[in-house]
Amino acid sequence: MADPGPPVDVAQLVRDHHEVLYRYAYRLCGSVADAEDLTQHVFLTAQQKCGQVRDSGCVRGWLFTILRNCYAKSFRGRLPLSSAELDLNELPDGEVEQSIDSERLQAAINSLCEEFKLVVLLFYFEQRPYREIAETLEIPIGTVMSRLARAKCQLRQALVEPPTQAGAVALPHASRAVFARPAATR
Amino acid sequence: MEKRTREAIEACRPHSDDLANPEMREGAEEIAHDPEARVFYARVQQWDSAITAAMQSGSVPAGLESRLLSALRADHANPADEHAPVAAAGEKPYASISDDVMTALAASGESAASLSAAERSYSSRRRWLAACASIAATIVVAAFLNAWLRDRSPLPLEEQAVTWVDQLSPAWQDISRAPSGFQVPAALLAAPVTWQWMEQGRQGVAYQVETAAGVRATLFVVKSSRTGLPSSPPAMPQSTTGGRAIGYWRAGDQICVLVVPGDARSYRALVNPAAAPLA
Repeated sequence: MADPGPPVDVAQLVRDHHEVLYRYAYRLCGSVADAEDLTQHVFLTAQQKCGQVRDSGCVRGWLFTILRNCYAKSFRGRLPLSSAELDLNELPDGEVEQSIDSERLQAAINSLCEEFKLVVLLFYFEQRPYREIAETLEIPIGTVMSRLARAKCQLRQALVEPPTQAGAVALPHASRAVFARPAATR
Repeated sequence: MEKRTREAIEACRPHSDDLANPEMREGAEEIAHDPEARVFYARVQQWDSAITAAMQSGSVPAGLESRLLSALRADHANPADEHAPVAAAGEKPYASISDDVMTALAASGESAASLSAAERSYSSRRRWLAACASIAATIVVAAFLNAWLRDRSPLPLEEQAVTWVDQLSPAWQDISRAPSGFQVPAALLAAPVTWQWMEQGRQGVAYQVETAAGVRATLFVVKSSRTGLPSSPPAMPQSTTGGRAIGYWRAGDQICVLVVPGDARSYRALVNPAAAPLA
């Protein structure tokens, strides 16, 4: 039986991972307040379930999984945004910007439907290979490839289009996301 | 360029060896032999590098770490109720934790640690009070049920008396050893000759009584607070069914139930309603 190692210090998890988790949450939620709520929810859940951690090297992935699950629960039941018809052969003309504005990228992510958003975040943020994305989302590899191609195409189109209003970020949902409080296990 | 090739190229992470995977063989060959595919692959990789870098950038709100730590301490001191209602749509679900903590900190200037200790103390007092209230409520309910069950007979006394008769043992005991506290009423025109405990334990005694003429009957004397009974033997029995005449009344802290074989006339031969309730 593998040595479970020392118990996880959740306060240390906060210190080590809160920034990356917040950024991930912000990319998913699209707003500062929702991202902070989601991040807090992740750590509260982690506090209750830290006994599940067997390998301290996998903590970040474990936190990402909690975050994705919390987010998935929060948007379950909402109507997905429709994905536009895209020409997958088309890449934006001109040179690729080496430095993409963070808020502009967020506006582009916000324009994606939830299915695309999760695939894109797993690919870009977590840098997971397509096989792992398929396992994580429990969908076939072919579906992952198809979604990735369409989502990335839509993302690039959104990035090269001029913004509708200066600095405006198109939020996908009118209402705030609601993250259910983790159930007590103690 | 084939759709499958495009999708394979899009699935390759920047600066990775994803193209070497078996599923990518077709795409890899096309990139090797088709200049258009090669250009497409190179540009997608450029885009992916730029997007990946931007994706992981962005500022983090000031004080986020301390707010998260405060929320964890508060949650640890007062763990979530499993059955707590989920926040309604549009509500901030953790306002009761993080916002309250931050507001209290700002107002009092206390450290998060001392506030957490105060919350723990409050939570402990609240649990203690809840436990005391639960115990008190249990005692009250138990007392009420005890009184209610003691006074409440599931059957009318007529029917209860028939049951008592059926439960009698043939082993009657000598009257000289009858227990005190279960007095035979003086209104009876019969004297007790034998006795036995009833099945209710030591809460009731059954007597065999006999008139001077040798007519026998059974008298049950039971401790009870049952109300609504006559205070002396009724002149006529309350029940005359099944070849038995049954009359009952209250005498002090006990009830008396007289079961006489026969009809109302047989019953009247055993009671004197004008007499005092107890001997």
